[in-house]
Amino acid sequence: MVKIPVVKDILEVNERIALENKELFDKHKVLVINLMGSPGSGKTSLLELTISALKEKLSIGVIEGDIQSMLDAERINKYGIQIVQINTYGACHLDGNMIRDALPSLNLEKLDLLMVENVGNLVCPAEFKIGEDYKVMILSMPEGDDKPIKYPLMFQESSVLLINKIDLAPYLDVSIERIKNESFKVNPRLAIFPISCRTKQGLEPWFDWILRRYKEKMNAQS
Amino acid sequence: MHELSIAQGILEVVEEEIKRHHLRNITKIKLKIGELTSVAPEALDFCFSFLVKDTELKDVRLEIEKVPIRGRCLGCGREFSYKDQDFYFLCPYCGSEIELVSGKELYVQEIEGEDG
Repeated sequence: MVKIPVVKDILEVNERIALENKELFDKHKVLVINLMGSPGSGKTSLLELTISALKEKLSIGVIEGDIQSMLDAERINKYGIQIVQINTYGACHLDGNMIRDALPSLNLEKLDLLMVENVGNLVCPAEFKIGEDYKVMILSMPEGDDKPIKYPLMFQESSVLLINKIDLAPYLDVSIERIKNESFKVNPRLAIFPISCRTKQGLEPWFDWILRRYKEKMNAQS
Repeated sequence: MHELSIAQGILEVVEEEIKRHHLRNITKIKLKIGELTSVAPEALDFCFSFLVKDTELKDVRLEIEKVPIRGRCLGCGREFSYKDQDFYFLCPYCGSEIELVSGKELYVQEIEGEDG
């Protein structure tokens, strides 16, 4: 009987592939955002508004991750941008491998910003890198203010939290302030933007954030 | 069900080690899993046994050691652990930011078998 000490990261293979993706994105100076959130939190709506607002300034591409269906890709398709739909057929998150497989369908030379809509889920996507520059999460107010403490990893891993559906605030027992406070307790570095995709309020700071990150990436030494 | 991807990752690590050390008759795989990773041990067990059911690894047991979440304050330097459902990443003593000492682990720690 032998005992072999290993001490190896189980996700090492994924991290390696994600890093290769990232190197490719960096080479082409494409800013990559991994958008995560629950089903129904507003991920696709946010994408649509972001594309509309920024498509004159940036060349945008989208990767849509869904367990099944082409519905989201069809929604995005009308904007005339590069789009790839990944169906995970059961898997609850995207990983480095799936993104790598989608890359031949994208012309990175022509992209400034690639937004990846992850599978709707507050748990698993936080665990898997895909080669992104930033993880961004969207939480809608009706989901409640207990989410940061119940799903701490996703809040920890994210650089930005968008609090969506603030137009519903008068009808809910949660407040923006409380969601903010709870989120800061889990991740004090979060940039938090309260928004409504329906009324379009609060979106400017989010668009600015993307443009600033894009500029940073362009100016970074590669 | 990210346990299936994690089980796949374990298998990849283990197969590599088996090759490198020419191991056979593997009996046990020891894992270290941080509490912050929200991996359910029962689900992981199930997924792993599903992946290896027709292979030489079919009788291998996964031994999972849960690693508690510990933080260190960047302000006052104190270390502390987190209890269930208590995931505030601010120092309970002085309110400063903290860094994680443990809790995000997802490691294959040790493999037991025979030299081949």
